[in-house]
Amino acid sequence: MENRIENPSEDKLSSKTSIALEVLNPRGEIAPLPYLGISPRLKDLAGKRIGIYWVGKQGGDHFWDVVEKAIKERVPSASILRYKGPFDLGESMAERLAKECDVFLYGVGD
Amino acid sequence: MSGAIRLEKLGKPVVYVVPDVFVCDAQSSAEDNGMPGLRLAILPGREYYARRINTKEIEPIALSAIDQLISGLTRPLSEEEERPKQKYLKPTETIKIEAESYELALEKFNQLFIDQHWGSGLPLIPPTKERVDWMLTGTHRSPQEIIGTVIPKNGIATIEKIAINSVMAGAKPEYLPVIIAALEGFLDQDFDLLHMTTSSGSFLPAIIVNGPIAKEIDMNSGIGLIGHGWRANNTIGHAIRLSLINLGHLWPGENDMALIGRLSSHTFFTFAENEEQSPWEPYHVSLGYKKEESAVTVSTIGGYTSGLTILGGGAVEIWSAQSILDRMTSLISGNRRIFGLFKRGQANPMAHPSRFIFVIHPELALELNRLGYNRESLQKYLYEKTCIPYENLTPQEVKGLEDRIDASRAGDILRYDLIPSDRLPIFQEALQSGEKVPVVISPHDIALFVAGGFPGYTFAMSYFRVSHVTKKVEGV
Repeated sequence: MENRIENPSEDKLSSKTSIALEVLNPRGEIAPLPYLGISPRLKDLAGKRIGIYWVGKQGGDHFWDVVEKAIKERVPSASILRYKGPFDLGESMAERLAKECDVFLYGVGD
Repeated sequence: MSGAIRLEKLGKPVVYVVPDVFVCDAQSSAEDNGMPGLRLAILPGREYYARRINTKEIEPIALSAIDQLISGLTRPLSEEEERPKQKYLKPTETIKIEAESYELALEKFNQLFIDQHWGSGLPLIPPTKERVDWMLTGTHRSPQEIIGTVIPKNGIATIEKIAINSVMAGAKPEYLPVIIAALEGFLDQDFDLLHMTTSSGSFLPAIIVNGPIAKEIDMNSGIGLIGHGWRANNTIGHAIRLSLINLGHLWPGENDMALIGRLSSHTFFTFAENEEQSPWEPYHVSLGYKKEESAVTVSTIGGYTSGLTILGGGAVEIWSAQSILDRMTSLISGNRRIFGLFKRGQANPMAHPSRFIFVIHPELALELNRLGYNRESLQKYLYEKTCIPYENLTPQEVKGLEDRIDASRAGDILRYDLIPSDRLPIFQEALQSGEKVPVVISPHDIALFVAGGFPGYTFAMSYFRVSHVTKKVEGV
């Protein structure tokens, strides 16, 4: 590596590469994480229990009220259960909700 | 995001609903949590936020999402969704930049680094091996030592990587131990770095240095203490800024969602306690460190609501010790988040108890000292003076605190909302006629530093999640 400051006017006259600045990578290495696939989907939602999990940010309840009504109209045999909690619902709540529902709509997240 | 992935891991199809402005953040978070194929339903953010005010307004947005929601739960999986391929690429150790002159190479370097999202927007010093080796002479710690991983993408923070970012920031080797200690504070398990660096609320770090190293490296603790013009203050803050970007793989609008950016975003609020002008023992000594040791205290400062409040002092208005004490108590007691109707983790900032930093200008500290206060007795005064008579709590506030006490006992509460077991009896006993109820969880949540010049201002900074973390400066 060469670190010299040349006269800029000389550079204009030169077309060849004369400086090689080698720098160290500042990025933190990320340990590779095993990737998991998502769960198999259902063929349809008829007769299924649909969990709506909302993180409680203002106005989200208005959005989900409309969604709940529209899904009931679209799939009358499905039942909808509403939940509210933190972004990460935590292990114990996840296990409980997984017993109560077949699928989940999660958010609105931001 | 991690909650949605928990449900997926339990075999449940999930669709994660997110406004478009947060899609990059959501995809990145899904990768960080090991499930890159998590299905999203994307809402038009431009309309969602403005129209969520009532069901009538939001109805067209919600109805337009129904097909996405149902499809996300029923559409068969692609091969990539079923078995996602690992995208890990080991980063190259060095980057070579060729040009016809040093000036051109410097320009190419700076443009490359900002294009790669490896810079801060300010000019950078090239981290050549020679310069990084020079930086590493500032610490006895091994370059390969790992001090932790940095969220959101959990990049590994080695001493060498911190040194590389410190070179880029323009720091000097003698600053490196302070930079490392500050990062150790931010990576402490009691510190919520994820919220500070990624939330839409535009929070920022405070970095406050105590002990002999502050003077040795010429840190400013007087007039202009959070401003520009001091290499140590500014480049220590800048080194932390770059380390958060590069070790955490953080970038505005991608996973750093601070909507208006941050106050002092490049260098943060980085200053030293004015120990020379303070009548009291240094802050770190009051925590049990030795006077000859140095320490760095880190904290988070509120973004758009509680970043910095001037409480008195200065060269214009007259003030007295009592007038400023009154403003301090008013500020603390007016903050009744601890009584917020508590729901576990609900997105209600008004239910997260506050933590305060008061920076007291030396004239006031001298006057308070004359009046018989030291740091500990002033902390006690503020804590006791700001307690609210039980009779003045609304029924909803009583219920909020009762819920918080119950949840703390049951462990069903986020750590920053928790009342620790040793403090629970105080709150339990205060909830009765004739008693007074604290508005902060512990006196430690009212941190008092002396800094500024003559004249100076006393100011407050506050936040509502984690308390202040102090780390000893090691390896000098």
